[in-house]
Amino acid sequence: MKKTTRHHIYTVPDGYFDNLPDLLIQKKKVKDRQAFVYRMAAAAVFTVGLVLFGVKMSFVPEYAFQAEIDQEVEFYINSGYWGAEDVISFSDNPDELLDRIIAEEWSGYDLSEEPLPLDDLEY
Amino acid sequence: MIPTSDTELLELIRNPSTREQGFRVLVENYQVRVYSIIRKMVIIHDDADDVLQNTFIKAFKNIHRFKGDSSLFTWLYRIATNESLNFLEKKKRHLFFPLEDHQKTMEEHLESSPYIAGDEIEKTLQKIILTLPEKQRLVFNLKYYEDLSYEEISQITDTSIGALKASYHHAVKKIESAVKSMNPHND
Repeated sequence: MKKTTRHHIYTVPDGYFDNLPDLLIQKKKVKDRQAFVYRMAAAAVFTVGLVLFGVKMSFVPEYAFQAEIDQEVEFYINSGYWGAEDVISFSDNPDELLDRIIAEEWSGYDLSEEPLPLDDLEY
Repeated sequence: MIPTSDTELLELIRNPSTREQGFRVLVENYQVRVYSIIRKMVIIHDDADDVLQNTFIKAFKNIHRFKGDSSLFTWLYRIATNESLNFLEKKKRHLFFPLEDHQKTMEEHLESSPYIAGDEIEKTLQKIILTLPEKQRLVFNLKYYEDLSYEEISQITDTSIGALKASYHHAVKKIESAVKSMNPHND
């Protein structure tokens, strides 16, 4: 393997190496800008996603939860599983609730303590 | 080439106000040698241009990871040789054309390209070298054409010196045998 054969036979277009540094610096700037834009876009998508998720969690579940509870209560009452006394007892103030019901249902009646006149009584 | 030591060059790059200047000096200092090794592997100038650009872009991106346990030149060469081998591997895996076609393309390029300047003997030698397995061809090019030491080639290719010596020895034998078979009367 003679040293004379070490001659490099590969050539390049004119000015190739003169232009290469500028080309590479420009390419690097473009890639840096692209990377910055991708990072910002990813951060924006992540932030928007978090906000939407938070908003959804704060509205929908409470409404849906309440509707489900109402349905369940209606079912238990209609099926006779819960009686009137059961429902009233679930209240924080069952006596107050009872008084309100009586006031609504018996509003047309005289509820004074005076005894009824005997003549009005019918057997 | 601007005579800048590795230390000075790294200082330029690490300083944000001189970073661009540092990258420019890096390219200007090493582009010819890095191109040379890439071109010998991929043969075609346009392919070498792509691989060279990818090499420097990767170097820019990863320069902060350069620990200084080798020279900047060895580090760059390592990126360049890996990029060249990956490029050739991708060509092998091209969907519609098998390896032989790309091998043939490179051989034909040696004959017909305006960016090949050599006599028939030199072109023939290149065609013979092209028949070597890629890693063996790389070792041969680094040793014979780039005149690197086995120590440097070992750092570039992450291969033991013993394995490199064996690989180079086999490559030389194959090339000599091929040359002799083409010129049976010249022993």
